[in-house]
Parts: sequence; structure tokens; C-alpha cells
Amino acid sequence: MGRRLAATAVLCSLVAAGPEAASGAIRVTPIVTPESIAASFSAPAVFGDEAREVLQSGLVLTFTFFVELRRPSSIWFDRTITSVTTASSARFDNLTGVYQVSKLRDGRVVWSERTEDAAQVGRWMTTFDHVPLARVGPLAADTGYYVRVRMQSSPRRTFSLWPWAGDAGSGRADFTFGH
Amino acid sequence: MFLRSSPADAAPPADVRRRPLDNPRVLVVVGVLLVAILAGLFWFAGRTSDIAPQLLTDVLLYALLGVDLALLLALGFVLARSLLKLWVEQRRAAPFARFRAKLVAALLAMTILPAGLVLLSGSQIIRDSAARWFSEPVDTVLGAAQAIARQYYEDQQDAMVLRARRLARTLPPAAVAAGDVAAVSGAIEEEPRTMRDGLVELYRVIVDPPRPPDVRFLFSAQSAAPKDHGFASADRLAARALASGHEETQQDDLSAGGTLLRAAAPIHGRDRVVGVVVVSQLVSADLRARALEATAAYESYQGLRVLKAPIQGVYQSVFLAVSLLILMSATWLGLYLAKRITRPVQMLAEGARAIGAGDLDLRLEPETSDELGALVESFNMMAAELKTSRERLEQSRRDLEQKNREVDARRRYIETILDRVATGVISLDASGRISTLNGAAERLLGLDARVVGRPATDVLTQGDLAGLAPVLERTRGVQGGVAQEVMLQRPDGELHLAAAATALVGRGDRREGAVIVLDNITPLIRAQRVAAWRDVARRLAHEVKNPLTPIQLSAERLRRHFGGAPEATRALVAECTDAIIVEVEALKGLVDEFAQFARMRGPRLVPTDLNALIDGALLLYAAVLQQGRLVVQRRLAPALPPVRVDAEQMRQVVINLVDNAIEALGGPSPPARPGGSLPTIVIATIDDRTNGAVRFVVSDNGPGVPAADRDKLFMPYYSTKGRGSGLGLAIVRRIVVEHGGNIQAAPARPTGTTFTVELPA
Repeated sequence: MGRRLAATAVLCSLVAAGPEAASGAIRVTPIVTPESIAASFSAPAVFGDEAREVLQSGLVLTFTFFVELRRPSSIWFDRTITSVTTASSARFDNLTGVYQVSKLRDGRVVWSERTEDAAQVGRWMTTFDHVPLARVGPLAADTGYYVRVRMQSSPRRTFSLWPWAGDAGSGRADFTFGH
Repeated sequence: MFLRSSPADAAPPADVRRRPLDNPRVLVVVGVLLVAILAGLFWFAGRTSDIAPQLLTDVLLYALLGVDLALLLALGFVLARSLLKLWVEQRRAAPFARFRAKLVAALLAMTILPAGLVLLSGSQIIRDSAARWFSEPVDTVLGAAQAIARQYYEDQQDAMVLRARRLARTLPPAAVAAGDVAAVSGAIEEEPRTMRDGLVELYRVIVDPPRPPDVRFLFSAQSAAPKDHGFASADRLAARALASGHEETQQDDLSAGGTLLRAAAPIHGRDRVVGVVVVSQLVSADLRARALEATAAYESYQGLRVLKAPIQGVYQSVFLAVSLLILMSATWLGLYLAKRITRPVQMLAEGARAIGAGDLDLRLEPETSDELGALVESFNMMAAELKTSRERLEQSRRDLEQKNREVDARRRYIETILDRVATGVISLDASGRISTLNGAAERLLGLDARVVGRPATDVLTQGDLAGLAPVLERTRGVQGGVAQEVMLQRPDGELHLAAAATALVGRGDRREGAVIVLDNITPLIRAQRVAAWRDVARRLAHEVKNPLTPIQLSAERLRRHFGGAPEATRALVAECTDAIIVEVEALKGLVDEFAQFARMRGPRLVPTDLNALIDGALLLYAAVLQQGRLVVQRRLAPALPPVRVDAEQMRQVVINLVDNAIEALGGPSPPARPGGSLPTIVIATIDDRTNGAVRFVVSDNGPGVPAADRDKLFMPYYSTKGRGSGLGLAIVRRIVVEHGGNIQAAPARPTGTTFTVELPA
């Protein structure tokens, strides 16, 4: 039993590894275990000079990631199986030179840390491991799914007439749920 | 101002309601609300820096954009609606549509153009101002101040690390490990003296496998240290240093103000960390506040730099919203003013048009008490006066119509009377032209209505009407009236008229015309003649008949006396006496007829079947008709109503007329006629109850009677036969006249004479 579950998980991981990071600035890795589906993703590119400038100004920098497990459809809009909103925020104390970094999931703080290393701040804010999405129960066997991650940065430094346009980054990883 | 059509001067109807924007109070409220919105927008623009950046960039900015879009749509709607209304009004050629369009265009140009210029220049000013926010000197000063503050903290922190490190090296590890306070207290107590507001805390590491090593407070020394510094914080810092194996730093903000800069350094023994020394120094509240101010100013400046674009967008959105609000308000106000100016005039024009169309109940309700209100009041007064005048005029018209109807009825009544009367009436106008003539005049004079309008002198003095010329002549210039008897020679005989002419004189003796009245007195003349002849006949009968018998007796006596005389004498006497006797007998017969004519009794009228009466009379001529030398045709009308006549006298009339016709045809045995046609007598009856008469006609196809003698036919002792008394037709006319009837003789076609007797039905 244990071997079979492990084989299934490996299969799913291998299938998912193919299209990993196929698009967008966010690298997405779906993780399928016999019990649940999670996703790991990282977006190192989004923590650039603009993010550092925002932090250096003393403003709270927030990266909001919308993680969705979706099933593609060729004739209609893709169906969202489940979605999770997770975020990371950081604030820099210009007096002491210390960064306060926090991670939130669905509005609740789940992790917090201080550091004086800006690079570490960037890694913490853009890397998420094993973000749980759903249990495998509702998934159909031998069916293609994908995990899409969209990110928005706040505060915005640019101004667009359309408020819902211009995700700061996005990524997608397809996988086939085997059995 | 409202159009109101009320049947009377009653109060305004309840359904007439003013539009809300016509109420000054509503306008004041709208104005105050508008000012409040503008003030709110300006207030909001001034508080932009206090708003959380995320709320500012993710929510408020787009909310303002939504407001701008809504205002833009509202402005477009107001403009489009107004332009559409103007277009429709022009298409409908509404009053003052062109003037209103010009006024609206002028007001819109006065509002939109300045507002557009302000919007463009204001946007440029905002962009320029935003560019000037970030100047190099300010950037340098703020950066330097923040760097100084931060550097001070770092320097103090580094100094604490150095102190802690130095102490950790100088303290004997064994004493620390053993917890020998006396061995280490000297060095510990000496250190705070070299510091200002310093604090030194010593921790011993406790090793109790399998639990991980832990720190335990051992000793501390301080110089005017803050009373509210947290021991727990120092414990955690010491634990961190133990865990990491090297120096750790920490900053504790105190509730009383100031910051406690801490540094922990591990004390290394021979093979492990045996203790941790924590050195702390207080940064005063004032210094900390200054450092925070410098940092806050720097962060605020940098925040503005980072959020430059969104904040600029907020300002521009607010400015755009204000501009659009003002523009929309100005536009609406311009349209409203144009309407307020043109609407009263427009309504007055429409009101005038409605009144011109007859709606005199229309009233305008003034909206204001200014000159326009006075004009509206004057308009209403004018409408009321018009209504009153029209009502009076209508009443006068109704009265006049009633009088016209009465006059027309009277005129028709008089015309009917004139048309029915037997008296002819002819009216002439002032120029002597015939204005009217009634039916009796037409019949008497043989005229028709076509002579109306012609000069009377052309009509009444020509031909057989020439006898009227003296009467017509005497109507000129004569006031009052003239009357005279006139005899006209008509084709059917003499016509005796009593003509009376009266000149019509108006005010100022102005001649307005004349009226000629004609009465047919021919029957009266005839009756007078008959009466005269009756008197003559009676006298003649009385005077002639008496000597006839002695004359006849004397002649017979002479014949008897000379009976014995010689033959020649006796023959002569016999011849003379026979002639005397014969003539005396003839004179007796003549005298008897005269006596009959003179003594004729009055008729005894009883309903009689005229057809049967005629049939009975014709039986007397059966022997004559059997000879076949002449023909009698009867054309009797069926269902002839009974006629009230004296049957005996009327039978005499029929016999006399038939006798007269036979005589006219040449006697009972008339000679053959050149054309071969038979002598024919036609006897007919005619039912003319519609005119209240029954006629019977006796006609022959004999040689006829000359027109000049036709009227003499009914005169006594007139005969064309050369024999008889000549009283037959005179008796006939007398009987007919005494029955209330009339008899006429007229030429027959192609030859002959027709006698028509008309009796009352």
C-alpha cells in the first residue's frame, strides 16, 4: 500500500515537472500526495529594484498570490476547483535597518521573522512551499489539471485606468492526476 | 410658469405642480450640496498623504476614476439631452426655438470653454507641482538626517557589542561556570561606570542533559538604568547568543520613552559556552524622538517618491472631478438660465397662439414677481378681457341671429301672404328697378321672376302693359299715393285693374322706392255690367211685353175684318198680319228670355256628381249625335269628388255651352269640312283638388272667336250667329259666378274655342 501511494505521488510529480514554469515569472510546482494537493512556487524576479525602493521608503510591501487549482476546458472557461490566497508583506525600519517579514494565508498571519538581510527578505517574500490547495477526493483520475498562481504587488507604483489589469506576475503548471 | 386652462376664474387645479427645480428652496439645497461636495473633494485631496498607500492606490484612486467617469457621463447626458431638445424644438418650429438655441450655445460656450481651459492648465500645474516635490537638496538633507540617526544607532549598537565582547573575554570562564559572583562582580560593576545609563547583566549557562543548555541570570550592575527595562528581553537575547555561539544585538523600546540598545556576547569556556554577558545602554527619549522624526520625514519623502504616480493620479482625479462637477453645474446652470429666460416668453407665445385659436380660458401662472411676472399678469388680464368681450359678442351674435330668424320668418310670412293674396304687389327700389313682385302680380301681368332687377319702365310700359305707364309715371317724386283704374288689353280679353302706387320715403325725405298694388276688378266690372243688363232686360221685358198682346190681337182683328175684302186686299192684309203676328211671337220669346235673365234665382247648392250631371245633359243630344254629322267626346275624370252646385242651373250651363259649341260647328247638321275631319265637341272634367277646384271644359274645333270679341262672348245680346237673344253665355257666366266659380274662353288648337268652368271643390 505504501509503495503504491508513493509511486502515484512520484508519477504525478513527474508529470507535473514537465510543464513546470512553462510560462510567467512565477515558477509553480504542484505537489500531489495521496491525500492532498499542494503547490510550491517562487517568484524571485518580482523582488526587484522597485520592491526594494518601496521597502526603503518605509512603506509596507505586500505580495499577494492567488493560487488556483483549475481544470482546463476546451469549449468553455476553465473551471476553478479551489483557490487559496496567500500573501507576504515586509516593512523596513530605516532607523534600525531591520526588515520585518510576515506571511499570511487567507488574511491570517502564519509566519513572521526579522532580518537585516535584504536578499533574505526577497527570498522569504517570493518563495512559498507546500501551500495546501485541496484534497484529492474531488479530482478525476487521468485528467489534466493545472495550478495557476497570479501575483499582485501593493502599493502600486504605476497607474492604470483599468484596476484589474496588470498582474505583477503569473505562473502555471499543468499536471495529470493519475491513479 | 405653467399653462393652465380653467373654465372659470377658479383656483389652480390640484394637478398643476411645479417641477422641483423650479422651487428656489430646492435650488438653494442643491447649491449647498454642490458646495459641500466640492469642499469634501478639496478636503480629501488635502488628506491624501494620511491615507494608507494600499487603500490609496488600490481603492481610492479607482473610486475617484469612477466618480470622474460618472460625472463625465452625466455631463454628456445633460449636453445630449439639451441638444436633442433644442433640435426637436427647431424641427417642430416651436416659438423662440432659434433664440433659445442661440442663448444655450452662448451660455455653453461661456461655461465649457473656460472650464476646459482651466482643466487643461490645472492638470499641467499638477504635473509640474508633482515634479517639484522631489528636489535634490531636500532629498540630500532628509537622507543625511536619516543616515545620521541610523548611524548613531549602529554606532551605539557596535559599541555595545564591543563592550560585551571585551567583558566576555575578561571574565574568568571558570568563575562564570561555577556561578562565583564574587569573582566576577568587580569587573561587572566597573563596566557601567564607564557608560552613561548603562546596564550589564551576566548569565550562567546551565547544562543538564538531556535538556539543551539554558541561561540563568547570575549578576547585574547598572548606572542609572531605566526602571522599566525588561528582564525577559535580556533573557531571550542571552538565549539567542547561547544558541548562535556569537554576539547578538537587540533594541528594546521602553514605555517611558527611549530605546535600550542591547548586545549579548557568549563567554567561551574550554569546550563550551559557559556564560553570556549582556550589555545595554539607554538611548534617551529625546534622542529617540529626534531620530524617529528624521526617519519619519525621510520615509514620508521616500513614500511620496514611490507613490508619486498614484498620488498624482489622485490629485488629477480630484481636480478632474471638481472640474467636471463645476462644468456640469455651469452647463446645467446655463441651460437652466436659458430655460428660465426663454420659457416665460415661450409660454407667452404659446399662450397667445392658444388664445388666437380660441382657448380664451387659458391662463398663465407667473413664477416670479418681477417684470416677467407682471407681463404674465397683463397677459392673463388681456385673456380675461378677451373672454368677456367674446362672450358679449357671442351674446350679441345670438341675439342678432334670433332677430334675423324672426325677421326672416316675418319676411317669409309676408312673402307667403303676398304670394297667396289675389292682389298683385310690385316693389321698386330707389333707382326704379323692380325689387319684388308677388305671384298675383306675375299672373295678372303675365310676368315672371326674371323681371326682378330690371327697370320698371322697361317692363311695365311695354306691349300690352302700356296702360300701367301713367301709374308708373306718377310714382316718381310723389309723396303719398295715387290710385286709378287701368284697363289692359290682354290676349284673352280685357283686364281691369285698380292700380295704387305709393312712393316709399325714408328719413330726410329720401326716396327709397315705390310699391304698386294691383287689384283685379275685371269680375267686378263684369258683374256691374251684368247687373246693368239685368236691369235693362227687366225694363225691356216690362216695357216691351205689355204692348205685344194688343198688337197681336189687333193684327188678328184686321185679318178677320178684311176676310171678306177682295182677294188682292185680303191677301195683302193676310200677309201683313201674319208677319206682324210672327214677329210679335218672336218678340214675346225674346222678352221671355230677357225676363228669365232678369228674374234668375239664386243657386241652391247641394253636393252633386258633376260627371253624372254632364252625362244626363248629353242625353238631350242623342238624336243629333245619331245623325253622325258631329262627334262628342267625353273625357270625364274618374273619382271626381261631389261638387256643391245647383244641379238645375249647372245643367243649364252644360246645355248652353254644348248648344253654343253646336252652333259654332254649324248646327246639328254641319256641312262637310274641307279637311275631311269631323266636327267634334270635347267635354272633359278635371279634378284639381290641390288648388281647391274642379273644372269642366267644353271645346269645339269650329272656326273660333276672334281675340277682340272673346271677352264680349259673355256680354248679354252679343251673338255671332245673327239670331237668338245673345243671352246664353251671359246666363252661363252669371250662374258660374253665383256658384263662386269662374269661366274663361280661350282659343283651341288647332281651331276652335275652349270654355273652361272652374268651380270650388
